[in-house]
Amino acid sequence: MSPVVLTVQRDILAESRAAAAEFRSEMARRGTLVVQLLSSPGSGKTSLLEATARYWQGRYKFAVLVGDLETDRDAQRLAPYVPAVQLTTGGACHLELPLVKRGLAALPAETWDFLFIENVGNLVCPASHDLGEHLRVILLSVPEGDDKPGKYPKAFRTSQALVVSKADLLPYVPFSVEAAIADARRIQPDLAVCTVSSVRGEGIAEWCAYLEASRSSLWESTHAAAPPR
Amino acid sequence: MHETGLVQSLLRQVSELANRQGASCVQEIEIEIGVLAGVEPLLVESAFARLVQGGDSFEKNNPAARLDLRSARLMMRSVPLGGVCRDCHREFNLPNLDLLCPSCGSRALRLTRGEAFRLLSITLNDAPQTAESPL
Repeated sequence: MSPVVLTVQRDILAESRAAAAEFRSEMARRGTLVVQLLSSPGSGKTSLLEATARYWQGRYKFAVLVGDLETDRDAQRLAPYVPAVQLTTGGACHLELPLVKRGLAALPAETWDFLFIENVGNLVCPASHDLGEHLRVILLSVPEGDDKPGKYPKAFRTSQALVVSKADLLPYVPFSVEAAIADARRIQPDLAVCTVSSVRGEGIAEWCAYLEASRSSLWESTHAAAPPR
Repeated sequence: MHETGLVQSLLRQVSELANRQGASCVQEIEIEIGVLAGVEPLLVESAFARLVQGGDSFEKNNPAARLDLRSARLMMRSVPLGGVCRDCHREFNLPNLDLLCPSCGSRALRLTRGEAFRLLSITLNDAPQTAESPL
């Protein structure tokens, strides 16, 4: 019998993309802006969330799902500020939606204004997996070097915002903020940018204003009105 | 390193399609890997070789499915970045990852290819001749 060619033409991740899109719409209906933070290990994702909590001082209700291979150290660090659930992947290099949903179910049953998902520190694999977030934010800390965007293009390409972190170290390391931004925008021209120092609080007001504006526009597009606050 | 999970997902889809066609043997699996798919072809190749050797079912809901994938060839097609410029409206292919319109230099580009990881076709060698596209 002669071979039969079956034309398929289908995205291999179609199923998980559809599930992520559904999660995104559901969270939008609830008025929750879902923000995924992506970066290498040690770029300051948890510190940025601590600084965010200090800045908002309870003005917004938010929670954090934090992914790591092992330990609940990040969840413990965040616990004094906000409800946080640790997602341990047991060796896997990135989070996937089912793990995020399990984490959300483990949080107090509240209506959150923001849900942050701190992915496993890794600029490679997380870039290919949609977690149902509305906003993907990539952090690049200045000790890492301003040449990273071009070296990890997929992570920068799929992000909507770049946070240049640890800006207080700029006097001590050879890092050009302009060069890093230009390199990132070669691959993602629409990238929004904030430069912050989480330990000193510099740039945190701009970062929080960006989050608030993003939540307002999500709310307006979902509910055809401004958010109630 | 997430290629193993991606190849498992690919093999599950191939297995379901082949079973629906009543085939028990797959000769070739053709996939597209965009240069910005975030998927490494070499790792896909080694994950594929390792996974098909087991001869296990890849279908969660049909653990009895015994599709023979051991002789299947994997054809990988690399796809460069391409799309349409939002300023000059010309179509383009990019030789690298610098998103710059080759005609007018604009950065306002809409990419239409080069970011996907897709199953293009499968070749079954003992299916009924009336096999139709599943979609």
